[in-house]
This record gives sequence, C-alpha cells and structure tokens, in this order.
Amino acid sequence: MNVQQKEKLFLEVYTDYRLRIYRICYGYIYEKEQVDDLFQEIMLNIWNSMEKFKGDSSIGTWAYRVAVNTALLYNRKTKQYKKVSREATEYNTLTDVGCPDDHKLKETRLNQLGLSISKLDKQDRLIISLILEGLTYDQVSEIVGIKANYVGVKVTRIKKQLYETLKKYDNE
Amino acid sequence: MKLLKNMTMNELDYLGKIWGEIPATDSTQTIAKLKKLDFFQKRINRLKVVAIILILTSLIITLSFLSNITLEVYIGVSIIIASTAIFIGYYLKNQFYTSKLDYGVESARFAHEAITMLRRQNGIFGLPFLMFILFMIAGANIMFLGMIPDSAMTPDSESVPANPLYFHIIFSVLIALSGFLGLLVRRWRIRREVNPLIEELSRFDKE
Repeated sequence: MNVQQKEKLFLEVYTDYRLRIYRICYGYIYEKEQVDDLFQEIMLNIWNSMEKFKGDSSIGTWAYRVAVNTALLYNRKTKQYKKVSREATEYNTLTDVGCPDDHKLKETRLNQLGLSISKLDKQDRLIISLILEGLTYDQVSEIVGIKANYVGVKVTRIKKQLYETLKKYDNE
Repeated sequence: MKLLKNMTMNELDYLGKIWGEIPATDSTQTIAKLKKLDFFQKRINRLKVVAIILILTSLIITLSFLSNITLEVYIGVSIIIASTAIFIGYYLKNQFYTSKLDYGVESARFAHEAITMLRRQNGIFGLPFLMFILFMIAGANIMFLGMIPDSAMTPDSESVPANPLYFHIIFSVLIALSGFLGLLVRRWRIRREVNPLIEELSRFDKE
C-alpha cells in the first residue's frame, strides 16, 4: 500500500466513521479531554494499522475493531478511571439550571445516558455503544469476537442494568 | 428530566436517538497531526540507530587507545558488554509495545495476544534478569582482577588494609543490590500496572 492509497483509505474511514467512533469514545470515557485523547489515539492506530488491512472484513468492521481494541488498552498506565468525576460536575451543573432550553435538555439527557453507561463494566460499555450505533448482534460479534447469541444475552443484561439506573435518575 | 418516559425496557431506539446527539470533536487537524507524527516516528528511529552506532564506535576506539590493559580487564569488559547487549536485545524483543499488536483483529483475539505479550514481558524479570546480574558480577570481578594494582594486593603500609577481596565483595554487593532494587521497582510496576490490565483483558479473552 503506497502513501496515496493509505491516505485515500484513511480519509474514507475518517469521513464515514469519525462521528461513530467519537461516540464510542464517549460511551467508554466521560471526560471531554479524555474522550478527545482516546479519539486521537484511535485515529493514530487506524493510520498506523492501515497497511495491515487485508479486506477480510468490511472497512467499517475493521475500523470499529481498531476503536474497541484501542479503548481496551487505553489508560493502561494510569490508575483506574474515576467514574464519579463527570457525575460530580456536568450533571449537577446542568440540573441546577432553572429553565433549561432545548440545548440544555439534550445535554441533560445525554449526561443521564452517559452516566448510566458509566455504571457498566468496560466490556459492556463498548458493547452497548456499538448497539446504540445501530449495529446488529452479528456485527458486534464480528467486532468483539464473541458469539452473536452471547452478545444478545449480554445486551439483555445491559439493558436491564441501564433501565434500573435510568429509573433512579428519573425519580430524583 | 424523565428520560425513561419514552423508553420501554425492550427497546433501545429512543436511547439510540439520544446517543446520536453526542457532539463531535473539532478534529479538522487530525490528518495533518498524524502525518507529522508518522514523520517524527521514523526520524526518531533513525536517530536511535545512529546513537547506538556512535556509542559502540566510541567505546571501541577508547579501549583501543588505552595502554597496559591486562587480559582480565578485556575479558571482564567483554563479559559486561556482551551480557548487557544480550539482555537489552532480549528485553527489547520481549518488551510490550502496543505497536506490535494487530488492532484490526477481533477483540477476543486481540485481548489474548496482548495478555501473552504482557506475560512475556513480565518474564523478562525472572531468570533472564537474574542471569544478567550474575554475569555482571562475574564480569566486574574478572575486570577488577586485572585492574587492582599489585601494591594493593600486598600491603606495605599499616594504614591500608588492602585486601583485594574487599573490592570484590563491595562491588559484587553493589551490583547485586542495584539488581535487587531494579527488580523491586519492576515488580511494583507489574503489580500496579500490568496485572490489573491482564485481569481486565482476561474478561474479553475468556468469552
């Protein structure tokens, strides 16, 4: 693969999957700076791994795999990610707003969803992010490498957990 | 804010819609940054090779200019250099580099490969490191045999207890202590950084 081909393929991934990958980062990590940082690292790995792409799977599946695998090793040198940080800042600030406009409402809803996802295990966070992106169980199975029916089992469990957490926020 | 009012437990469409509202990052400079990084990585690698060649060349030149070097010193220095080079080579070969991983494979396989590499890295500081320290001690002791002057071997002054055994013991203990400290630091890092990661990756690997 020459430089021009590499650039062309990268631009294709970048244009088509940039937003989706960014949302996966958001589902996995909760601080804006860290989300941006992980996103950059994923893009760097996509760029560096471009030559290894043999076309065995679709470019989208491949890009998602790179994203998920990068997330798995992200922050390996730091201590466990502090789940509470976002809970303590963004969410509280937004709920303090007396008369929220549409933008604020969207932000609050996103924060509630993000917070609920943050209560999940790392693996579950990645799986639910892919599901929320609209991927099928088969597609998730192809990315993560677990059987499709097991993805289904996991999603059911994750939904239950999400539902419980969201219910708590609704009651607040 | 009632997020659940539009959601039943069996459907995620509503959450999917909210999910789609996540704002994107301003990443217009990403491609330019990547190209720059790619360029610098290649440049740094070339610089490393040049630096190693320069160090080795200067060491050989310096040794060749020194006079009165005994055979023991040559043997001792050779053992030290050879064992260091072999250990560094082994270390670099088994060191965990994320760049060695194939990010485009399924996560379960990726996790398995990462775990294997991490365990191999942990293994560096077992028997290979112990052998390295032993060879360093042996090399240093052989070197001192040729370096300690005869006057020190046979004390002609009452104030100098010049038993060469002291030199050997002191330096052997110093090297062994340095090795032990290095080992302690590495073990601490393994416990703090590597083992939790292995544990986390194992969840993906098992499924």
